[in-house]
Amino acid sequence: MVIKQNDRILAYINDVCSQIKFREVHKEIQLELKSHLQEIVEEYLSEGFSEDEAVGKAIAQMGSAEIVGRQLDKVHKPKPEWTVLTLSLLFAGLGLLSIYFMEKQGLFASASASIPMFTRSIAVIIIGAVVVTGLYLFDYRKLEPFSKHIYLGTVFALTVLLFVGQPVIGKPYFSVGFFSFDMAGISTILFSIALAGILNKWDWNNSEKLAQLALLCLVPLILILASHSLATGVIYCITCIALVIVSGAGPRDFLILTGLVSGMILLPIINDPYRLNRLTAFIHPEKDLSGMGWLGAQLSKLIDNSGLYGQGLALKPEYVPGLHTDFIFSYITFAFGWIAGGVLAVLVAVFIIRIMLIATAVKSSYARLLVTGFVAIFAVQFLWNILMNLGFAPLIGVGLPFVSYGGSQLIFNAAALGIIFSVYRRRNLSGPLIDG
Amino acid sequence: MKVNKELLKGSTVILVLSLLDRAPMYGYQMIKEIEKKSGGVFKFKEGTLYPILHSLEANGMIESYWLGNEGSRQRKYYRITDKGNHCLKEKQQEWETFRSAVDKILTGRLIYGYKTE
Repeated sequence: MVIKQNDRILAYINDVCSQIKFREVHKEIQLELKSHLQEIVEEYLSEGFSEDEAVGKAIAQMGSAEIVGRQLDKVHKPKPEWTVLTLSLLFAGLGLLSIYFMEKQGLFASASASIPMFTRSIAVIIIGAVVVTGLYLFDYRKLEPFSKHIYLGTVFALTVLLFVGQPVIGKPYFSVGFFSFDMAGISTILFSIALAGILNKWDWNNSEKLAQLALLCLVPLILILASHSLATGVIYCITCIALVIVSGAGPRDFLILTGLVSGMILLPIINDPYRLNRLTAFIHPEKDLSGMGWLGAQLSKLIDNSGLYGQGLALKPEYVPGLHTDFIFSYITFAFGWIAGGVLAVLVAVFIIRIMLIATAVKSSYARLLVTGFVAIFAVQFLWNILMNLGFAPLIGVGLPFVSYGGSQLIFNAAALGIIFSVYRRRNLSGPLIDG
Repeated sequence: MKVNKELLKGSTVILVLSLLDRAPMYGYQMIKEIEKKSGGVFKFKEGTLYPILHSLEANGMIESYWLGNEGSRQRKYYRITDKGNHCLKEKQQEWETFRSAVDKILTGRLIYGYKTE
């Protein structure tokens, strides 16, 4: 015998929940308490009590709704991931400080911008902060049903970009008013969200669907490469591979997919003399001192001359282009010293590891995939950027997340961070089997 | 005999963890087990079990999952994690030390016939 609805039981449960401010947990607590109360009531009924008595005794046994509710509220009070939050603020602050110094030194003299770089940086960081907060409050689980839409929308936007994009340093950008954004650059975040939803509950046993998945993984890559974004292509590839592993692909499927995306990324490098040039410039910088080799040589001079405690504001203008974007790590090391550069690298490692731990701690497989994709994107950006600044990796267009001035890229990294916080806040919510 | 509330409060975590160490359980089942095993000595307001369970889960000591059986009845089961197991071992040791120390003092009183009253 199951008591379907009883006003007093419902009122008790509502009293408990009215104390709990985190509303998303209400449904699960309601169901859990209801099932507990039903068990007590059934026991009393079998002992011969009337339903009215049984309900009364059951509620008395549960204790004060206010106390239970208040204790539950305390447990479910959102606790942000302080380490990740603090580190991301620190990164943004360091970037801002560096750009402030660069501007003071007149390093942006030639850039005829109407708005000072420092002001623009602050504006972007404020937008980023709003995005992080908004997505933290937003329940990430609402994204999953829209995975296909996000995928198709991004594919569409990239296709349009190929036709109408405004070229900025060889790469097409979308321009809206005076704000231009790197659609290809931000597409990795969007594809990562989409693929997390598509790969969640993917049927790996059905080998006929493998071709379909290969196509799903390759189409974005082709579009990204077509818009001359090799760095983004590399980030996308590794994200794709990470998602395939975590979603539970067998070794055979994993090898096929990895082979396909890696093959696709190698093709344009071999085909394009400009890209091959970057690679050889990395291996033999002395052979090309006027082009890419020159940039590498300048960067290594910068790093070599930085010293333990840095050179402060000694840098001459026009020393290296892109100091506030891709080469901000070199600037930080030069201006604040080796120790500062080293500490930054360690903090980056802590940042990545903390986010990885979130991926392992969450219950929902969708959340795990979401966070995995973002970890891959962050890790490749951080690692490649630091290595190339130190001269250990070929120079490609990749910034240091949250530190580099990066307009749209920074805002979308902030979006990924916001979703990670949203996952962390809801990590203990597990959906009941049927809606109760 | 009723036990002092504060005494019970300090030991609920170890009680819950050691119950779940034996088998995954849902809330009502835990209440019944504690009551049965303690011979009815441990009786507390049943609603207050859930804040304890939820906070143990938030700390990664236990994890929960829903199981449906008997038609539409759904129950939220809890099971202990590796971290919880580790914590339980520590708490057990702590309890053992505490218990034997209290025992020594209590029995010492009897042996020497030392009376405070």
